[in-house]
Amino acid sequence: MRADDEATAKAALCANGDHASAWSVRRRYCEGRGRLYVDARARGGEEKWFEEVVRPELAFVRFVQSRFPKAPSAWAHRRWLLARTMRFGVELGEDVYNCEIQACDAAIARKKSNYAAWSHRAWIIQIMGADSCAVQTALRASESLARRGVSDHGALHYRSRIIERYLELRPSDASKVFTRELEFVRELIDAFPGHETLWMHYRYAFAEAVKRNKLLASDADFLATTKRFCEKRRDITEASRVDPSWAEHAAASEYRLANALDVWTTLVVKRAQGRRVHVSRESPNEGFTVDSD
Amino acid sequence: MSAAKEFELPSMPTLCVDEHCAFVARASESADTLEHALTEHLRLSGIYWGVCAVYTLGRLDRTFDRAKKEEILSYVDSCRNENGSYGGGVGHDGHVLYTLSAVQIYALFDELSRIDVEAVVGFLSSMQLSNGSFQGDHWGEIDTRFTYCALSALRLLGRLDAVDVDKACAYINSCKNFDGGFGAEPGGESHAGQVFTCVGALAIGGRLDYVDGDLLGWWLAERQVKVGGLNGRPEKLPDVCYSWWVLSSLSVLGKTHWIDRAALARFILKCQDEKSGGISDRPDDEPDVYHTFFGIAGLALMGHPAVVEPIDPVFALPKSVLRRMGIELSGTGKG
Repeated sequence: MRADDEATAKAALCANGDHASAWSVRRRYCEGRGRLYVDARARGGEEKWFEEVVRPELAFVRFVQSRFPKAPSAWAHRRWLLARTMRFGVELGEDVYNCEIQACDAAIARKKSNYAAWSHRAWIIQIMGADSCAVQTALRASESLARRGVSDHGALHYRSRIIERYLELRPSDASKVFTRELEFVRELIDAFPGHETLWMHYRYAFAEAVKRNKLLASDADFLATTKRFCEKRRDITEASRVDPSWAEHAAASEYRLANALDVWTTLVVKRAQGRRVHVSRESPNEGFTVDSD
Repeated sequence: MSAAKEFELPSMPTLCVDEHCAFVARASESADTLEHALTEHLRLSGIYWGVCAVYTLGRLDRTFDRAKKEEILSYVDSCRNENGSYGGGVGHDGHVLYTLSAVQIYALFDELSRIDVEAVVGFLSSMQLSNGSFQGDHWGEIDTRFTYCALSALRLLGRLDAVDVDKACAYINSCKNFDGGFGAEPGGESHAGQVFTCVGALAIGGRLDYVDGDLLGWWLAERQVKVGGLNGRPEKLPDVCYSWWVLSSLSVLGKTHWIDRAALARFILKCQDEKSGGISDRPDDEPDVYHTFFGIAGLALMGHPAVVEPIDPVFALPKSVLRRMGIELSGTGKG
């Protein structure tokens, strides 16, 4: 279906939200109209273009995304529109950012672990600029997103990106942030056992904490906390006593995940201590082992 | 190869070679469906998936006679744009994704002489940005997939000299995460598809030293779920296409033995439509050419006896095609 004109492109996109060529037609159309506004040399031509062309276009993308929440080219189109606006020298207001966040949230509600939507959400936080208060607000908001999305790896990865962004602006907060993050992820694992997503987030927090402060690799208390946590989560007897149905489904996963974290963090620690280590796996149905060279 | 013995197990379903070739042949004829029209923008990739699937099954000439072959090649020719790029379909804008697909199709049919190499090289090199990354087209979207497409196409054409390979690889390295995986952009979540493209790009660029083999191998091996299939990220459902993205990366790292290959093979074979042919993303879903190709390619990497043409894990092309082009094959590591 060739999309030669902007109306045909709109129709094609309603049938296939990831029709990349149709989005290109829409861009040519928006770009063309932009030139008219700007060439008119009236003051505020760029702002008018944003209000009269870009805003409706963003609304149209949202309309398409209600059916195609994952389509990468739709998200790329949103980014092009916003980036083009900024290149025209138009400042994006808070309402625009909020609109984008809402678009992400709507898409994530429709399609879990929506890679493109979570990436877009992180991009928005990035372009909001170096306002550590705004990023701190985003960091706080990501906590409830994480709680709601304990099986959504995109949600926890998004949180890690906001943490990184926050620490770019406030690097001295690193120790506090990662201490808190490790407590937070332990709390989530206790509440929601058997979720690989949470255990992966534990790896992230542990590895980043050690990367930023190598002394932690020899800090007995720090290491013991993780070891004890793995021990606790491996002890399925107690957890099964509390909830036998859980034991039937999540217990084996939890045991395996706790073991994996134990070995994985050992790898990180040994490397941080400057030791040469390698990973092996005896058979694909067994765990990994870390051996010194 | 020890993997081949696993296919002799009595419980292993048969690979329905005839049916899959018939499925691909039918897919190339169905120009009157809505689905066909709505996917026109990626037709070239569809052609690559179909042709390569059939090639690896050793049935290229049986499935596409000379007339059909010329029809396909003429179609690819007509997707060429003035700036040297290829669009996904006739009249569609050029993009690095479809430029690679075009080069791959010409390579499969041994018709590289149909390419205006300088024009293609000109387009691809113009897509590299100052930080080493590649945009997909002039609209500016950047994704590590596009680096792979550009480097692969340039290598196939013998023109890697046209871009800054060091910078391209350094940019890929900047997309590496704490877990050894790679995302679509710096800070992007590790995703098996992106891992394939990043590892592939680094292999082509000669910078596999950027890869943390132990960490990444671990992450890749953890993509295997209980039913034997592979997923692309934690807690996602298994999908046949990851049989390729994950397995090819493990192959480059020399760590395919870190997953249960028999279980994976069984999963792929269960995703076949044994009556009408084709392979789907998971059992009992609708098959499509994309999953048909990647399922067969995954089986090729595991040495399935019916997949007669071994496939290269970096270029996703049969090794015999690469040898014919004089391209030195990627090693599969120490394992």
